[in-house]
Amino acid sequence: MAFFKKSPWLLHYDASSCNGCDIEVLACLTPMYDVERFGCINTGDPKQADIFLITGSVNHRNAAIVKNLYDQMPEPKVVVAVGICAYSGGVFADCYNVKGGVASVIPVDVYVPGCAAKPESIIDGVVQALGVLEEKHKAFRANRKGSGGKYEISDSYSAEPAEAAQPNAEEAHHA
Amino acid sequence: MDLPLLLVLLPLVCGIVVASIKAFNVRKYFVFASSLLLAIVSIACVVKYAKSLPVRISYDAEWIQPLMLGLELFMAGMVAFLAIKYKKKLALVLAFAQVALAIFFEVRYGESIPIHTDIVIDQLTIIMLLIVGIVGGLIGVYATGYMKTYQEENPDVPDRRRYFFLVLFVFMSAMFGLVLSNNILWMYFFWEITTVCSFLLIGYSRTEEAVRNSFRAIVMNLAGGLAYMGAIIVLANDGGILEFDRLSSVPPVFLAIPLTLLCVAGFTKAAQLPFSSWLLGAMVAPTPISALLHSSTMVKAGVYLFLRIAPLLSSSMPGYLTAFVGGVTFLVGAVLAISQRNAKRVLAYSTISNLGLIVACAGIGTYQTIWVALFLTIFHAVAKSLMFLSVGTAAAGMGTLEIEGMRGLIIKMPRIALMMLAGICGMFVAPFGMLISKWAAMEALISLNNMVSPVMIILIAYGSAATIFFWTKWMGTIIRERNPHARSGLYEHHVSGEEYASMFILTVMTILTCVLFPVISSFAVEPYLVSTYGHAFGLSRSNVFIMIIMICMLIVIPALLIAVPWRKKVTMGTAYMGGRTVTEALHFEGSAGADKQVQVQNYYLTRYFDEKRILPVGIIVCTILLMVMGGISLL
Amino acid sequence: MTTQLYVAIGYVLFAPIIGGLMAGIDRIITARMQGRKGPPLLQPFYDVFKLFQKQNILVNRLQLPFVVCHVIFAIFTGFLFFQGSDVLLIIFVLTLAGVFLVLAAYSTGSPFSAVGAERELLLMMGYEPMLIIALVGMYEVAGSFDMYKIMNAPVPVVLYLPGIYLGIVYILAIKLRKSPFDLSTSHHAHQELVKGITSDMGGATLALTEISHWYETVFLYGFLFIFFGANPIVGAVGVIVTFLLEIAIDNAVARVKWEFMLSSAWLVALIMGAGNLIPLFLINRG
Repeated sequence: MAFFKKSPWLLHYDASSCNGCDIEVLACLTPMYDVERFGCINTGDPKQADIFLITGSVNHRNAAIVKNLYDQMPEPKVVVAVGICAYSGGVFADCYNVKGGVASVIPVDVYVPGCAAKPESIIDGVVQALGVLEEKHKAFRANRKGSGGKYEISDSYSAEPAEAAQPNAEEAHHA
Repeated sequence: MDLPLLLVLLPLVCGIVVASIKAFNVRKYFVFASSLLLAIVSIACVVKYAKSLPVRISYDAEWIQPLMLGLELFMAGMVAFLAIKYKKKLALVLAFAQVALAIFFEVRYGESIPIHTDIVIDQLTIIMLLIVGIVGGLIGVYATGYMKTYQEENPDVPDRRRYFFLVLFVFMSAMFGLVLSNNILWMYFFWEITTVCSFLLIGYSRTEEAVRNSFRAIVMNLAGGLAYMGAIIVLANDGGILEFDRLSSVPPVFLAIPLTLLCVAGFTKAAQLPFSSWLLGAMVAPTPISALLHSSTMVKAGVYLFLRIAPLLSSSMPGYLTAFVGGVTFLVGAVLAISQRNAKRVLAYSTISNLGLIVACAGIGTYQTIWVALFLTIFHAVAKSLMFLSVGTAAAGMGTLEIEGMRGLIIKMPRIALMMLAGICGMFVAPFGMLISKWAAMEALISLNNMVSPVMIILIAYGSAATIFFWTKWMGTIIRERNPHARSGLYEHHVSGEEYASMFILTVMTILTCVLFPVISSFAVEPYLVSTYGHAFGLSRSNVFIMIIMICMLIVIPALLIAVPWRKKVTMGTAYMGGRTVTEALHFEGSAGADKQVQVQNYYLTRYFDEKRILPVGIIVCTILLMVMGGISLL
Repeated sequence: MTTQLYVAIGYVLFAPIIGGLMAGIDRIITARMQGRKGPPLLQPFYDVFKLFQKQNILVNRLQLPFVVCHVIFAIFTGFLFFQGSDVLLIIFVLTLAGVFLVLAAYSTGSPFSAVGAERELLLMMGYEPMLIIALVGMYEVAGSFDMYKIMNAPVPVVLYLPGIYLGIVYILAIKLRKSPFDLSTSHHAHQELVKGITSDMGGATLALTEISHWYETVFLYGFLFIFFGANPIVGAVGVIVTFLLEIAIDNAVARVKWEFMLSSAWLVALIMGAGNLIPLFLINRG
């Protein structure tokens, strides 16, 4: 019996949102909407989160970060893109720095429309994501039993941090 | 030749032999042989006398006393010469005062005091003999490997290693003599030798800092020696008895001043507040010196003096005041260790702190607290010397003595790191010895029937809290793996076999003394308590049982969990860095594309626990306590 | 097998359930205080079960073993306590359990975990003096360090140790990870330094820390229980009142800086603890 429906923990990340959707996400935690009744907790740590709640569009700066956070989340995980910006860039779609919606970097499971999205929609989206989560959990369990190999390194480490600097990968003494 | 005499003379012979060999490779084997020999002879001494304790020996030779006086003059002359050379007036004055008092005593009282027993061997002596012989021997072995690297890395320090080993063995000889002596004059003689040896060895590197600190050490220790001599003169004048085991027959009114003076001497040797700065300064000496003299052996001489006079201090004002000085030192030392960045200074303050606890237990002088004091002595000697040795090796490998420099040691120098972790655990983790002793100390203090009890308990409670902080912080720094994929053992290639061997044996001893402590208690410590105090004390069987279970759990469970690959598949990920993409060396791209690296340092809480703020408070409090002690004794 | 051993085994088996229920009640009451409805009662269990079902990503090989050791020693602490062993020794075992958790956090190398670990050490440094003074006070009144003897003392211990009791309530907030002292990891502030010591713990590792927290909670409230003597009703009332008090403080007070936590905890230990202890010694011995 899976418990993801009973205890969905969110990682809320503002990609490049105007904060409109973020305010609505936080409003869900207030007594008016109170998502904690469903066991939702807004955790800031990707390792402890099931649902990656992203607002805002992806630009060149935060693309790597979004990918990094997604990779750090343990399976099973789902992504809920909140707001029109997360889908396609919204009103900012033509800006020079916007790469596009969240789907350009990580796979998205649920889109929540709106600008800004209403708390009711967000909650609805999270509930739908829970269904997806349960399915992924079943798939993950089946998969885990089959595969071999000792270590599976999730590649959040990158060999090159950026185009600009060349850090020395060797560790000298650090006093 | 009887064993005690052999014990005193053998190190001298070994020292001379070792010092006369020029070739390092040959010399080191002589050092091994000497250390082994010393360990064997001390064990033989224990085995031979174990059944017939206490053993009393006296020497009727007339030439011993003048020989000692002559050697004391010679040492004073050496100190005076060096004091003139380096223009240290205070040391010169003290050396002359020393000589003056010694000659005064010899002239006035020299022949008139009959000595019945020169040497007493009881369980306390045996414990100290084993500590000096075994731990001292191991450190000697370590020193051969370490000093070679030390000289290579410090080419501007003149290579005086033969002199180093000579003084080291002279020191060992003096320590054996010190713990064997029942004759107060003899102990004084050996005491002064240890002072001078410490002085010479601290100044080994002859840098300005080393010279300055060596003179600071000798000034304080000579002051203590003067107090000691003063005690001898007063005892000779008033009581006419100069033997430890007969001091109890002196009427207490005549004992007040000598006891106070002896306590002062003990305070200086054991680096209690307000006399602690010399031990901090002595950390400039090479690591084997710090390990041997300034943590496990010489400072134990100060504590040993307290243990010998503990029956006289029991339930008396000087005893309680001594306990307060010890307690305050315990607290202040523990708190100051938090703010030190240099690993040896942390160890120094920790040593001062632990010695404070031993002194406090000795000052109170009930059979329970003496039980605690004896065990603290044993455990501290073993664990602290292990700590110093591992710090020395780690510092040589990492190039710095800072605690921050030991970050990730578990990957860079895994074997040293493991032994260092064992040492740290031995210092403060239940169920290891130091913690059990601290717990027993609290239980012993509670059963006292006066107001000293709550004050001491409060001091220990706060001090104990402080120790958790800095030791765990250090442990955490060692195991902080920033890069789990890094190659292991990169920095370990310089470590010599001698260093490994000695540290490994000490690690095993740390664990064994812990596991075997009920055995040590019933064979050595309890008989001593019965013969001196008439009572035996031991931890209750249920507590011992719990302790043994915990030790097994502590060793077996982590070993099982870490070494055995439980899961076939383990997913490894990165640490959370705010979502930043980092390289394995924790470099990331900062704003405007600048390359930045993650920097994390430990808390040293210098705003609150800095030496400059807290040490003066401790010094003032303890000075006041000492003045009260002096005042009371004069009444 | 004595009664005490049965109680201790009962602790090992049932404390997670009791602790989880207490945590659930805590969350509901907190929610009601904040005008919300709150999660279901069994929510902590759902959380832990879910965490066990997640993939466990580890940062290094030491993390999980240290957390497991932490749990084992936390259980051992409670086991020894309910079995009637020397309470003073038990506090040191508790410290050992805490040290394991701190080492697990240190081993990751992440700055968030490192700061969390240092804060946790500061917290441990803060509550230790008060705890030791409290135990010594209990010994003074009851004549023993055995929990059962303290409970069965002629007079409920709290009557002689009011200051110490209040001091314990003060530092209980530290141990229970409640505001104002939830600096290193917290129930409510899930983003404070991104979860402090549990920063790099997810999945089964985090679930284990939750479970050990339940064990510790039951142990701590058991410790409070013995203040009130052998009458179970009085004890239960005392524990419940303290429980509600802690929740109320948690919701009413903001998190403080570590300087304030350390200095106030040590000051409380001095004034309430020593201030209670010294007169007690004077009366008993003086």
